[in-house]
Amino acid sequence: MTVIESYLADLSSRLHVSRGSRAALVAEVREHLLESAERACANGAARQQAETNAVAAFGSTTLMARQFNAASGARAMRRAPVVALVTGATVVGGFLVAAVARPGTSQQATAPMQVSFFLAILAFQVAVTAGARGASRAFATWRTSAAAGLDRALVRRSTIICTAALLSGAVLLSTNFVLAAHHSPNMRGVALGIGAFTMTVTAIAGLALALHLNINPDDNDDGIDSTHTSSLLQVGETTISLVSRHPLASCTTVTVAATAWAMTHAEAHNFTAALPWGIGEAVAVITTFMILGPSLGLRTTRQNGRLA
Amino acid sequence: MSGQQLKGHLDTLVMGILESGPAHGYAIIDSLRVASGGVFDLPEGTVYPALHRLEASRRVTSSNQVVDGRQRRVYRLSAAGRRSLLQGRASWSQFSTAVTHILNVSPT
Repeated sequence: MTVIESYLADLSSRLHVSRGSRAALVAEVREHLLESAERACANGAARQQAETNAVAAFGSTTLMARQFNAASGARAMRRAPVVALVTGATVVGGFLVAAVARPGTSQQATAPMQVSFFLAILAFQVAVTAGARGASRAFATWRTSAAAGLDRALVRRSTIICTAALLSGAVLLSTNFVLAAHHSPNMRGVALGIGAFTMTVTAIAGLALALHLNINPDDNDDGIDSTHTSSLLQVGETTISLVSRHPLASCTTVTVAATAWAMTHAEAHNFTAALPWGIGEAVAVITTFMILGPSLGLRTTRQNGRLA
Repeated sequence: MSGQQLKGHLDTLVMGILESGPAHGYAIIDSLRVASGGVFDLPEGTVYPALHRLEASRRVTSSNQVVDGRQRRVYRLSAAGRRSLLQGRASWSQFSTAVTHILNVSPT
């Protein structure tokens, strides 16, 4: 193997980009190195030495791979909100298909049906929050030529949480459909099946895509420029910075609103019957805020007396 | 000049080179070296991630062409790139004026 081919093999093994991008990058670098070596040969250098010099002038494979991975990661980061949005929209579509199978019924839902539906809605609330968080950071760096590793890490984490929550919601809703079908035999089983299948399969695909996006958060590039995006695309980040600066007020506001919503929509005939659902929603919102808040950058944590 | 000193300016410099016409990576590196009088002595490969970043942000476009018998990826400045270059020039002018002003003042 020549010096150039050996360099290219090493570079290729360090690239975390799609197969097509890797082939194009390696071909581009190969042409550059060959031209460089041939020019040196034309000036009297020996081929082996010319190739060694060309490779040395190009830069180490570690440096090059890190920069290429960072550039590719910035592009992949901008695809992440699209993955979350399309997955979410298709899951909603599946839910709507299944919803037509539910005839208007006066029968009271059973406890397992109520619990599965309640948990599914909670999962979707997490999905919307995480999806919006990731989209907000991605939009904030939309027009920059690169995005810092920390930004890419946040978008990746948010997208994975969003799609995992969508999958949980889809499975819980499908369970609810199965329970409902057993409870009310006059439901349209085919529509229920199509809806449940669409939701679950789409959510699995969305999660798999989110996990395999080459966002490369660990690869940073020192050569990035500092062009800022427009203020309109910064609206999400501005809102989130308000939330993270006032976590108690934000959490309280969201908890009150979510509790009121849960109690209004609970399949209960009076306030007392709706109260457990409201309390459950409040506990879930606060718990989620405590657990996922730091991961999504919605609140800061204190470690060894320092803010993290 | 090291890569560290060029941090944040490489994209603008590459756009500056492309303003005079489309070019492939090797030619851009050559132009950077010649235009800087040999001052910018970066690892040659550094320009490719910069080109890919610029392409991702739609400031340059690229196409595969045969140049001097070689299949090359040729980059060209887009309209968005021209606007960005204008901003980069203005920003650099402001920055360099400030630095020059500070460094030219003798300590008392």
